[in-house]
Amino acid sequence: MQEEKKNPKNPVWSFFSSVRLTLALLIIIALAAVIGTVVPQQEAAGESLQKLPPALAGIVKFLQVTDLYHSPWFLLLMGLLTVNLVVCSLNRLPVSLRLYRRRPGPDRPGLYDALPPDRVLEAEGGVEAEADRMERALRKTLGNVERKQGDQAVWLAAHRGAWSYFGVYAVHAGVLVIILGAVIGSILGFDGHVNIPEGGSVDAIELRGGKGEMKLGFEVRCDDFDVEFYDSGMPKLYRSDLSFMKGGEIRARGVLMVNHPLEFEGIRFYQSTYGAVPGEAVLVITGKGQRTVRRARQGERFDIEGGKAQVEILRIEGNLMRMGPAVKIGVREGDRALSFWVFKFIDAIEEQNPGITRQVPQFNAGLYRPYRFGLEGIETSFYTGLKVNRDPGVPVVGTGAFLLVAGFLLTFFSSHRQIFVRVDRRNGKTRVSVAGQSSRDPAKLDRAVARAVRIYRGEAS
Amino acid sequence: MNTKMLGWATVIYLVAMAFYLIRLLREDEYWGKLATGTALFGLALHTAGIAVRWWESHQMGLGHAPLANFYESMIFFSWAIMLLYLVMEWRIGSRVIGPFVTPVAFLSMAYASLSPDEATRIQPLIPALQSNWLTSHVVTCFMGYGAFAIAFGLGVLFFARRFFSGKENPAKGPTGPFPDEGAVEELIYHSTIMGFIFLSLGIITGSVWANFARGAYWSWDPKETWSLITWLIYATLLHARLVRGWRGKRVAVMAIAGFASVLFTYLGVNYLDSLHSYLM
Repeated sequence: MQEEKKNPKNPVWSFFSSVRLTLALLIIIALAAVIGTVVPQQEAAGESLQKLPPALAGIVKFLQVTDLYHSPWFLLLMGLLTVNLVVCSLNRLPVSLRLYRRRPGPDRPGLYDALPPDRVLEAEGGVEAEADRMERALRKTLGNVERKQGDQAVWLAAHRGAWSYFGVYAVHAGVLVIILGAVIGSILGFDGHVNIPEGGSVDAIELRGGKGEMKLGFEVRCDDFDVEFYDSGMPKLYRSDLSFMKGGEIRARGVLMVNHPLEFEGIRFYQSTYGAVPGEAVLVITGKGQRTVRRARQGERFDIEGGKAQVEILRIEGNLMRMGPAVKIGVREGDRALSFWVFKFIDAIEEQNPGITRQVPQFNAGLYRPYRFGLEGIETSFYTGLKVNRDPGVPVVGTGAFLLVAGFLLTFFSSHRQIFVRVDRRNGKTRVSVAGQSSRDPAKLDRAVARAVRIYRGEAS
Repeated sequence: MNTKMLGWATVIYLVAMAFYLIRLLREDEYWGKLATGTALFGLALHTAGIAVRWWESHQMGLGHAPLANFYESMIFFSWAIMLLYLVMEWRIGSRVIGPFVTPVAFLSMAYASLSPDEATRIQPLIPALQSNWLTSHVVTCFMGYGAFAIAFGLGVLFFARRFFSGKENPAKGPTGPFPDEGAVEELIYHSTIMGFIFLSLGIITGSVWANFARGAYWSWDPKETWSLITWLIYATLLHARLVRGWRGKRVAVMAIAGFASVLFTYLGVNYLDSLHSYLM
């Protein structure tokens, strides 16, 4: 790199050290980002893509517009900006270092020639005494003071805020560190989703972007899920009570709410969604003078007829063919197998469609004689939808953001202020001339000069 | 109560805007003082309105800063513009920007007052908004928007000045009641810096919040993306001016284009499918 800096004609280096490139990249990235907000992205893109003519869809797929922010060409643009930022900063760093180190002498010719009258003061004391007084005043206003002794005069140089030359590097470093954090997160982190039914537990999550399943290395159980609403119907609270378990033993418990994630073994859980699923069906079985109530989930089996026959819940539907809750039952007795639907509102259905249970044996809940099945209801149960991730890039991104803001403050609110003073004799009197120089903020320098003069005169402290 | 106060503040801003215009056309500082006084009174009433709204939300047992829906955000946007403008007027000692900035504040208030009744009512917070980051995120974002609105007003002033002074004025001397081009452009630059810092803080606070709420500090959600687009536009302006030496017309054009992006970030994104859609 040292080689390249010495040779400014190196085409690669000069290409990347151009601010025009920066401006072009900023605009191009902005335009690309606009496209990404208009075209549906990722999961949402599938449907819209099918509506396009095949040729256009081909182009969209080729350019990966539907996953624009992760497409190679967008990452390339970000990469170019990163290189551009690094090269520009390295290119300008020597200039800033020189400015930071440079201390122009307070005895330069011409420095005190064009001062306004209020910057040239007359004093009663001798040159040395007045210079001492001014030195103390400068020390109070700007801090660092240097003194130069001449034959007939004394010069003072004071300065403050030389660090401000580096503010812009802090800003750029901040941006680079944020990008670095994003890269770390995308390589070392993961991001997924899992639904846990109330009372149920999981030990794996679904990774985002169809990357398959990932084992957590522990179990998460949803002990309880609650959703509360305001009177207006707006949601008020989503809350999951979770237990984290290893080897069947509870290691930690916690309450998960929106804005209040939980962490276990470095993996973070966020309340993301929830939903209702049909839970247990409540069946009433009558026959042989008996009436029994059974609760069962989909896929569950139980015995009937003293163990001679087996009943299986094949399906549970909250609303089958707009005829209300229904459960599909399978009965097996030896080689004989039957299956039929049991409706909750069977009486109303028969009233509207007389004879339906005879015409459609599948709808006859009395098919397994002499028993008759009835459905009292289906209890809905909730599942909680959790986002699960680990992102080791987050602290890095945070550091970058801090650098960025600190850099802004240095760049825009501080400036290198320098005050130069000459104390000499003129027409039999001691003369104090005050000159100043600012890297950015002349108004702030003027205030510093005015304060130094007031302190020197004893009007302020 | 609070909506009535805010309604009156809207009317007062309209009056202040008229006074600023009269001052500009008649070049009479009497009207200028009247305009400033009216604007200050409007801002005081506006501030009181927001405070009362906050207090009323506590009375209702909801207790959140009035920054939680679209209506409240418009009210705060206008408040930020007026506050920043009046501070600026005091610092630079000139009222010439008034006629170009007060309309933005007035329009924001007027548009808010057109909201349907249920939107102006104080509403409880949905779970996603129940966070301590709500206030700092909204305040920083809208202070940024406010500063950009002032830069926009200055951009319009820049071109109004050229329009009234006939052809381009190479001498860049004062033209009638307007300050010279260099001074206007300098003010655009300073407002942009202010807006840029606030927007950056707004994006950062939003990212911190999103990291708690959604488990990702950045999701390329349209609102996030548009805030980045806005940030990139103003970053371009700052670099073009600081390093490439852009001045005058180009900077004014960028300030106006940047504000268009601000408005789209704020309003237009609601028409896209966004995680921020609860603000509609």
